[in-house]
Order: sequence, then C-alpha cells, then structure tokens
Amino acid sequence: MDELKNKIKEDIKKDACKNTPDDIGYVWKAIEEPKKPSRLNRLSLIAACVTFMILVAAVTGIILMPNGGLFGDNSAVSGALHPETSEETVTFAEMHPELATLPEDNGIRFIYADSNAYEDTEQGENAAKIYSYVFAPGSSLYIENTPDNLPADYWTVELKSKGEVVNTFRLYIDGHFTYIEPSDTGNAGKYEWFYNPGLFRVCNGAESFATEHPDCVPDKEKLDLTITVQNEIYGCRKNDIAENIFKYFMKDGSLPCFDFQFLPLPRTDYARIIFAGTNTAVSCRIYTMGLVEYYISYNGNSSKNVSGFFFNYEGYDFECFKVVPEGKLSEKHPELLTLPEGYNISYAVGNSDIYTQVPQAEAAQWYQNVLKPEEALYLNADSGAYEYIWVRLVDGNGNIKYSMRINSNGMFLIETDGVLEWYKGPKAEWSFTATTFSDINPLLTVIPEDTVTVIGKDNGSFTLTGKDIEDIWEKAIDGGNALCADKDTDIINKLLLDTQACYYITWEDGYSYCAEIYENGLIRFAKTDPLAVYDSIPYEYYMSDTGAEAYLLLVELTAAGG
Amino acid sequence: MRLDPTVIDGYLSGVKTGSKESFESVYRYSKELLYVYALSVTGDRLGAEDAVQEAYVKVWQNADKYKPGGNGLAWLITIARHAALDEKDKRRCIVVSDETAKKGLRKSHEEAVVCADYVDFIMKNLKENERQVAMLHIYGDYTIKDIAVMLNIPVTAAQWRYTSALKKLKAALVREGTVNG
Repeated sequence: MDELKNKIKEDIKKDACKNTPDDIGYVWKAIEEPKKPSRLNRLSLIAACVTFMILVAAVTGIILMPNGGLFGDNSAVSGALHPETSEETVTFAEMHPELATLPEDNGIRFIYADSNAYEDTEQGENAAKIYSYVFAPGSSLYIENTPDNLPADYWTVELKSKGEVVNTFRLYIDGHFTYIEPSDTGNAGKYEWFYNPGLFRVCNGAESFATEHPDCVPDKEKLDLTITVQNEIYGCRKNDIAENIFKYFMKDGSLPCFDFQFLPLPRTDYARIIFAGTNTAVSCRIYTMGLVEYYISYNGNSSKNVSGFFFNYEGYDFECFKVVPEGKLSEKHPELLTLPEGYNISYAVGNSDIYTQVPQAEAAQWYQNVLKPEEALYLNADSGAYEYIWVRLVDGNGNIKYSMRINSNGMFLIETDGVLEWYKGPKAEWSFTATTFSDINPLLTVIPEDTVTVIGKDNGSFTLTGKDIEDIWEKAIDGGNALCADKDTDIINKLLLDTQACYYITWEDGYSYCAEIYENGLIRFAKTDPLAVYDSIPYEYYMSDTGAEAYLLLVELTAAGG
Repeated sequence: MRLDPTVIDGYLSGVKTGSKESFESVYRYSKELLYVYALSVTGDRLGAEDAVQEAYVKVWQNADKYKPGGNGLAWLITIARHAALDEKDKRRCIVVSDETAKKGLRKSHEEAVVCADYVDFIMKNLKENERQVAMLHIYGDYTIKDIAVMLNIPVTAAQWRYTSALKKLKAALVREGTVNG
C-alpha cells in the first residue's frame, strides 16, 4: 500500500505543479476590478485567415484527412507551392537542418505571450513529439514577409538545454511561427517566418463538435446554460444567446482538434459556459482566439466522461453572449425603489431554507445596499448560478409579498404573484448584521459541567461530560455567532413537527435550559424560570454554519454509548 | 509538502498589513496544496484552477480579518473550500459529483488507469469528502488529526473517511487489474 500511496502522491504533485503557475500575475489581474473583455474586431481578420488556410488545406489535403492521429506525420506538404507567391519554397527543416528534430537533451517550454503568467515545460520523448507536431519542420513553409492579419494570441517557445535557452520561437494559433536567431536578444529583428498548415487537424474525420459528440447537442429551446466572463455573468436561458451558442459551438467550423494540453492558456481572459442536456453536462472554457477546452460529463456513467479541445476559425467575441437590458426596475416596479413602509426583510444564504430577519432599524438601508434599486435594469434573461442569497419582503400582516434571489454579481430575480423577472444592478453589497445568539444571551458562554443531559432520538438519555460539553455547545451556537432565524419559515415549522428529528440538551443553573439541535444546524433554544408561569415557552431560533456538526457529534456520542 | 503553519501565519500577518510581497510568498508557498484541496472538492481540474484563483483573491481582500497567531493553514483551507464549493455551485448541473475533467489526451478510463494517472482515478472512485481527507493526507503528509482541524470535522470522521477511501481505491485497482488483490 505504501508503494501505491507513493505513486498517488507523485501523480498529485505532478498535477498540482502543472496547474498552478509560479507567476501570480493572473491572481493580481483578477483582484483588480474585472475588466470587460475588449471587443475584438476579429471577424475581418479571421475571414482572411480562413481563406488562406482553406487554400493551403486544399493544396495539402490535410483538412479532413481521416485518422490524422495525434502528433502524426506532417511531411505530406514538403515541396508545396508557396501560398502567397506560388513559387516553390523551402521548409523549416531545409533551412535549419540542425532543428529538423528536437535536439537531444533539449526541453521545450511554452509561455503564453511574453507575460510568464503561465508556462509549461515538456521534457524527453514527449517534448520531441510536441516539437515535431507544433513546428512540423519537414512541412512548415518559409514565408518571406511578415504575414498579414496575425492573431493577437501567441506563445513564446523556448528550447532549453541544461537550463539555458538555446533557441526561441513565437507561435501563433493559426499556425504561423517565427524562428528567432539565437543571437537576437530581442530587437535586432533577426527572425524568419514560417507557416505550419497542419497545426489543426480533425480528429477521426469528425466535421464539427456536434458530429463528434452528437449526444451533447441539447434541445436549444430547453437549453440550460451559464455564461461567465471573468466571473461576470453574461446571461443564460435567453433565446438569442442560445442561438449564438449554437452558431458558435455546434455548427460552424468548430472542429475537434489535437490536444493542447502542453499549451499554457490565458488564466483570466476566457468565458465559461456550462450547458446541460438530458444526460450530459458540458463545461467549456472559451478563449477569444477560438480555442475551446471542454469537458463532457455523462449522467450516471462517469466512465464515458471525456475532455478535449476544439477550434473555431472564427474566434469568439464574448459580447454576443451578453444580454441587453430591456428597461429599468424603476419602470416595472416603482413601489420597490425603497423598502415599502411596514415591511420586514428576511434572507437565507445559498441553498439554506432558513431565513434570518434583518433588524428593523437597519432594514431600509440594507435593502438599498443589496438591491441598489435606482440603478437596476430589467434583463428578461435568466442569470446562472452564482453566490447568492434569497430575500423575502414580508408585509405587516406576515404575508410574503416578494421573493428575490440576489447574486453577489448584482443580478437578481424578483418573484411576485408567480411571475419571475431578472434584473441587473451594480455589484450587491450584503452584510449579515442580524442578531446573534450572544447578542441575546451575552452571559451564556459556559455550561456547568455534570448537569447536562442529552436526550436522543430514541428517547434514551445520557449525561454529557468534560470537553464534549464545550465542543457541542461551541459548534451549536458557533461561538455565539449563530444567527437568529425567522421562526415563520416553513422548513422550521416542518422540522419542529418531527420531535424525533433532534437531540435535546438540557441543563439547569437556577434557570432551566433546553436546546434542540437539528440535523440541518437549526437550534431551538429556551431559557425558562422554574418559578415563572408562561403562556407559551419563549423559544429562540438560531442557525449557524457549525450547528450541523454539533448534531453529528451527538450522533457519534450516542453511537459510542454516550 | 507539509506546510509549516507558522510560516503561513507569518506571511498572512504580512498580507494583513497590505504587503504584496507577503501575499506573493504565501501564494507560492501554499498554491499547490490549495489546488489539491480544491481539486478534491470540485472533482475537476478546470474548476479547481478557478477556485484557487478565486481563493487567493479572497485571501487578499479579506486579509484584514485574519488573526495573527491563529491557524493560517486552516484559514486558507476554509477560504479554498468556499471558493471550490462556489465553483461547484456555478455548475449546478446534473452530474457534478461524477465529473473528473481529464485535461489530458482523449483516453478512456481504462487507458487512464494503465497510464497510472491516479489523480483521475481518485476523482472517479472516491466521494468528495473521502477525496478531501485522502488527498490532504497522501499529498500533504498531514496527520488525520491535523486534517480534522483543517476541515473542522471530528477526528473520527476524518479517520473513517480516510480508511474508506483507501479501501475503495484498493478495491478499484484490483478490479481494474492494476494491482494484485
């Protein structure tokens, strides 16, 4: 087993090393205010590239070459006519015979642009295969002049021997690359242009992503998708957005291509799209250059899961995924520009069903901070999942008048009378200033030992002792930070009906205390005076992140025989 | 690979004062562990990479809340957990727990096993809570007790998850014929 653990450790280490760049630039970039991706005017550029590549492909017969396996032989184009001059040209290998194959002991290092933001180094046999594939020395054509319409994205490629850079290239996504003379330290302009027409090839003769993975093409009318660009939600479940997804992903020129595992890709400038079909979910990272890294999950059959890359010659412009606002909140709901008079606000975080009431004195300002209603725009499109809270506005009679789901990115959903509307405001600023356990019970920080009785689900009981008391109480009230829960929440009422669903902890110190601890972290707490007469027990309701762990501890203690 | 909590505490104390150098130091020191942990939560590499980035963004933005002298490692792990869970939540799709997001060649599962890509193997065969304990223990050399503190779970639960993870891994490998029973 030790051998197995060592192998696992080695693989994890390799994986972690490969997927965490040393340069922190991409984190700093994300820390800065997210920039909207520039609207790249790529279509005109790419149209020229497509024409050019189709011409070359027609000459070389490479596109749609069946069974063009990974790192296959690219030598079929040796001696081809130059696509621009129609004169016979020379190949990279003919001009640089010493680089016809990767020199022995050389490693190959890829750096995205010049930023060092993300790099990847390959060694040994794999490096030789990658070198041969990327530069195809026997078939890459020399080009006399700098090509027009070069893509914006490129990689610096270094051949390294014993830690020293011995040769440098610049590789473009469309197959162009420069060889930079070793003596050129950067500005001498001693470089030569080449073009590798086989950089993209079709896997197994597939014509598009849709034909390669037909079972992943969802019904566009029922498309359930999420689009984020640098963590900004761009929109989803919107028909024209779905049309764009289909246009770009499913049909036009989205060719499955060779594995780009060795190529470092930008860490921030990409869109994330997740779309789900009946039996599959597809998660993609989309780069403006046209490259898409995808992962397909099959429901209930993970052995079919598959990942890969595909390339779209048209590139991507993220703006087409954006939803255009169709009005303002102030126009559709003028009554919601401020918190309506006499209303309360409750909220629940994430998937929790437990609502916490915002203190009345803070409610109006809290509402403004979270919703920023003056600036909110009506979107008529569904936002994807994100960090969110649910908010309810309850009128003076206890009726829930509005239910809202508010994403931290500023998008929010209002449900009223069964109608759902999405809005987009500035980034929401919510803070949880609700009343805590220690606000209401400031003196109750310690429970006296040897007096604590636990009553379990089967009505059996045992005495809680020592550190267990401290552990359970600490977790149950989260060190006093447990939040007051809205007792009118349906889930609470439902839970409280099931008296077997919780553990009871009781103790006395002149007063009688009882805390009911539920599996979901809900605590119902009561402090009573044995001499007083109550119309009803003065229960307090709390919810904490660690309440569920207190419940688990009690399960364990019960299983261990108390 | 086992990180020294006092070193992390030192770096985070610096980050709290706004030191970019300290932030970059804590990033370089802890990035691989946070990635491994995020991977154990998300179950896929793309999600883990994004979670790590988001986690460090949050470390920088919330550094003022860090209490020097505390368990900096547990603080980092907590932030990474939230970031990784957010990543999972973003997917909210139908098969999140099964996702293994191989980034490599288009290999079938069997091929992946032959190539001894144990990371994929773990993603496929272990539950999320088992992965968390197993990967931290195997990769990070942390004791089960340390991991219990980091993940804020009872030691017995951590021990049970680890034992269960090892049993499942061994059984799966035997089933695939990679190791002998």
